Amino acid sequence: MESAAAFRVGISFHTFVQDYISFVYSFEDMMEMASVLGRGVEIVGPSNHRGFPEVTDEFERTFKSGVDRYGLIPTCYGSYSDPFMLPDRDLTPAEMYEYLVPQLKGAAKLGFPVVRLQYFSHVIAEKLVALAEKLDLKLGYELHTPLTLESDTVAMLREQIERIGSNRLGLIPDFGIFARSISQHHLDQGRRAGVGEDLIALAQELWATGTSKHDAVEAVQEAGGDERAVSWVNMLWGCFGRSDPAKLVEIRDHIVHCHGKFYSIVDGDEPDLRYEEVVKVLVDIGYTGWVSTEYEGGPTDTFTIAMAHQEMMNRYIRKYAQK
Amino acid sequence: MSAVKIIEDDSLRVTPSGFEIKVRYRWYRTLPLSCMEYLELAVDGEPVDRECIRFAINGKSYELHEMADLVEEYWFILDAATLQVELPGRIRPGQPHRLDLSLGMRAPYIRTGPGRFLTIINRYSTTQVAA
Repeated sequence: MESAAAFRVGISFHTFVQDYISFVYSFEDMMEMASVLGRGVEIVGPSNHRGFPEVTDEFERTFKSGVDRYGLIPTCYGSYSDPFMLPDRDLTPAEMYEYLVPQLKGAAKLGFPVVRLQYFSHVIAEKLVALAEKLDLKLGYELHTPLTLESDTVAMLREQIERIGSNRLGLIPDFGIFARSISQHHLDQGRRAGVGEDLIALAQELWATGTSKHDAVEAVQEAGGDERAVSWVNMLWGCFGRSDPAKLVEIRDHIVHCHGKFYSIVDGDEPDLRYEEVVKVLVDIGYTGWVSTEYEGGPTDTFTIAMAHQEMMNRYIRKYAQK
Repeated sequence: MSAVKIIEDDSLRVTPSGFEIKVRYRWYRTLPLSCMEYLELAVDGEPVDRECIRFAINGKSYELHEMADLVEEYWFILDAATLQVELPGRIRPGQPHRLDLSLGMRAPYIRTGPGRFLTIINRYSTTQVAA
């Protein structure tokens, strides 16, 4: 059993998305699986319910019924800002707020204590915090690649959070930012899309030397990469960040939730992400919230790999929580 | 895991004005129709004029040039849309026809450069016998 003082590990339904979109698992099936995957439930708004950005009364009843039946704990609702939903211009801050209001209200209606924000919504932070006060929600900017703990944007977000000074607004690190290497699955995806070995080697080299996404895309285009190669490079830089887990200490007061992103488990460990260090730091800083198991690798038995991730997490929690 | 098919199996139907097929896109989440960047269909190798195609979803149907404005019409990730094609007699019942579809959906939060965004590319080919 995990230590009572440590953080808890639940499940993001994003883990099952490939099975969900192909009707292998229904929403109800995911609720049932959650009952043996830590019981904490995170959902992705525009994937898991109809009527997005609103939450319908029907979905509220379905969700709450499942929560009761399986003894679940709603942990985090994934909201979206979608700043580029219009073909010809970015959403204005007012339009973005209008899009997020029903999402926050819907999350509260479903009983979620935390809403994941895309960082684009920082332009309306004050208004969202005021709404979160009314709805008794906490909001967290997701720190997902290409953002890393070291990026300028994250420095700006941290300054804003400190300036606003509300415990309603914080951060949600996604563990994909703590990569040591690019997974075999992602390299093979490039190969299947027809990206040549020379460009695959180039991309790995650009990644290992800390090249920005923008510069990497340019370099791959200059080397002859087509639309598919560019799309693949964007995907890589959107999955694997190079942050140091030790830097979590700097945001210790602002973590409202975590995404336990992972791409594979080999011999009980995530070979490409620095999980042991991440868990150790979270224990050391006294984090007591939730980490959602969030699988985003290749086709596999998603339930079994989610179990394997949680076994790894709990093994490291035991190792570091009981000194 | 069974993969999402961009053109659903056995979905080709002859209609009084032409034919229709059921289509999906391969991503993880619902998008507004304003995120559709392109939709190109060919039958037996011949491109179909986009003005002949209507896109039906949520009990409504639209012309393709209307997509850009449809910010509040969502394509739920589990739903198939129907492409209603006005080409009377083009498809004959009981005969096989090759269908090629290319569908681009904009990821509305992933910018790849000034004014450029990640497009979710869906390409699919199938041969179906119309019912």
